[in-house]
Amino acid sequence: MPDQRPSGVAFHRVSAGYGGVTVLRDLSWTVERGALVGVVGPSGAGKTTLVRLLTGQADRHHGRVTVFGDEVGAGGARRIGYVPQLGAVDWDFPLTVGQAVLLGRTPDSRRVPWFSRRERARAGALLERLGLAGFERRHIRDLSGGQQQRMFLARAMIRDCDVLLLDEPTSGVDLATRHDILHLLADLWHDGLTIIVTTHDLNWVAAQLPRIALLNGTIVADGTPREVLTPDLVERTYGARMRVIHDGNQVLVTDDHAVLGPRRLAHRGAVA
Amino acid sequence: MSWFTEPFAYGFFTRALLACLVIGAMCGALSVFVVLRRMSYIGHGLAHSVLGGVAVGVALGYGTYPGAVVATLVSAVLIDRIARRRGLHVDAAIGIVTTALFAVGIVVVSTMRSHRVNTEAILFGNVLGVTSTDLWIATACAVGFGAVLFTWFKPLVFVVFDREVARVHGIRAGGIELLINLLTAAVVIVSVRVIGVLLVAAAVVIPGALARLVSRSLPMMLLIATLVGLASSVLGLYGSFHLNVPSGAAIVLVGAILFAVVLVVSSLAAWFRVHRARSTHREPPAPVATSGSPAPSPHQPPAMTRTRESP
Repeated sequence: MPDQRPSGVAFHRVSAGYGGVTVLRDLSWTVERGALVGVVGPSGAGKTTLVRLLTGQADRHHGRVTVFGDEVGAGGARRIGYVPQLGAVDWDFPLTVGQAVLLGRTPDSRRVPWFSRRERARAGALLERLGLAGFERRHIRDLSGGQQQRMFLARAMIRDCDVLLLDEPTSGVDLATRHDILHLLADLWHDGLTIIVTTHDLNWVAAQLPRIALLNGTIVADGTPREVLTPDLVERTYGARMRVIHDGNQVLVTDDHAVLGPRRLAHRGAVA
Repeated sequence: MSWFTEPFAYGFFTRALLACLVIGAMCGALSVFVVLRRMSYIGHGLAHSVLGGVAVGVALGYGTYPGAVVATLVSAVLIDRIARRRGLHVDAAIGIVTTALFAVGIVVVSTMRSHRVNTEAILFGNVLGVTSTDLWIATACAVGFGAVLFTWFKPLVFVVFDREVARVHGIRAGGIELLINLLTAAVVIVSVRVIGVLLVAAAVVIPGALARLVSRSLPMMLLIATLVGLASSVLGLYGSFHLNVPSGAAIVLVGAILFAVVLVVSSLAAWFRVHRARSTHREPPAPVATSGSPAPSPHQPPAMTRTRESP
């Protein structure tokens, strides 16, 4: 029997922020079920606020937010898995990888200090699927940036979520880790998860994600990288003129004026 | 051996030892959450509010415990409420609420005509003053503390580790934080009799801080902190008896000495590990000039095209 409920994540004329400060204004946007979208915008554009609206951590002043037809209240949406920024985590916290993943089962777990064999088996299977087999007993600090992202993805997925929110997964990680994250998102997307990724890394989403939303207080544009990344739309979003280069299927956005090019550095004696 | 058995010739010592065991275990277990929440100041603050509560309770003729309980619980709730206001951190909330109640205590004690409040015993602890009632209250508190810890262990850990994500997973993080504050308040109230207002803060920090130096998993940290709490309480009590010094000071000093020893040993162990790693270090091969085309990356981006039907 087909699912009759409305699909995806929907924002209906939403204004939101923190206390009396409004960050998002009159935002209307829909993410269809099973979509993979990258949300990009300058600092202060409201990327994290958008995510926090779904997790119930931002103040909604006006409008409605729904996830698969269920209205999101102050406690956040029930079907969401959330992967926070790695920088906000206390990596010295005395937790092993397996324990950190299992914490995601807490609301559904029995009221005893340990997790059941079935729950531990599920965590093990998720870790194996995400390429972390054998890491259960390692301390969370002993993982690389990419592995830490995978661990938190496992924690989000152990809740059997339908929507994955990733807040700046490429922030502060190296190139190899970005590739790791991308492979993982591709796998999860192919499995049918709805995925929303916020990032400041315009070229990462331009090169790799099938759909981009430009955000600056509200959604400026939404579509494929080729449709969205035009000089005018990028300027409207970032407030600065940038050069957009199309190379086959790839789109590259660069600063319009090279401030620190090799010639200028050589002129200043910085390059031999 | 007489060092160990001699104190039992005195009737109060057995009661005091039992109280120390109960209080030491509770302080040790609680200290794990105090340290991991980075709220070491809360024990200090709540203990100060005890003085205000005791003074008011005695002045009104209700005795020491009712005043202490009301003052500390009110402090715990007020700290929680004030700390949720944007722009105010929890340290400011603790500083305001508990010192205000401490000030109330000072004012009440100084204006009372008869010295019905033994301020020295409240400030520094008095193991001689542990009564059977104190022991029963401490035991009841320990049973309740253990039951809460057993039942709520997973939500407690989740909220302390990652409050934001715990909320997303449907856990009432604010309620859990209030629960931790109330647990701290309860432990502080029953510990003040033995350890004293001025020193109880150390008892709810040192075991957890020591355990954090040497543990990599939470169950291990909890076990070590509880054992350290027990050991410092018992050794401190013996020290207090034989050296004729206040029990609170002796218990805290033992804890501090244990912490210092573990800190030095763990620092030396870390230094030796670094030294050994340096001694076995080999020079890496020289970097290759990059004038030519770069080597192909092992990380090929995946194809972002759907291969399955949308649900």
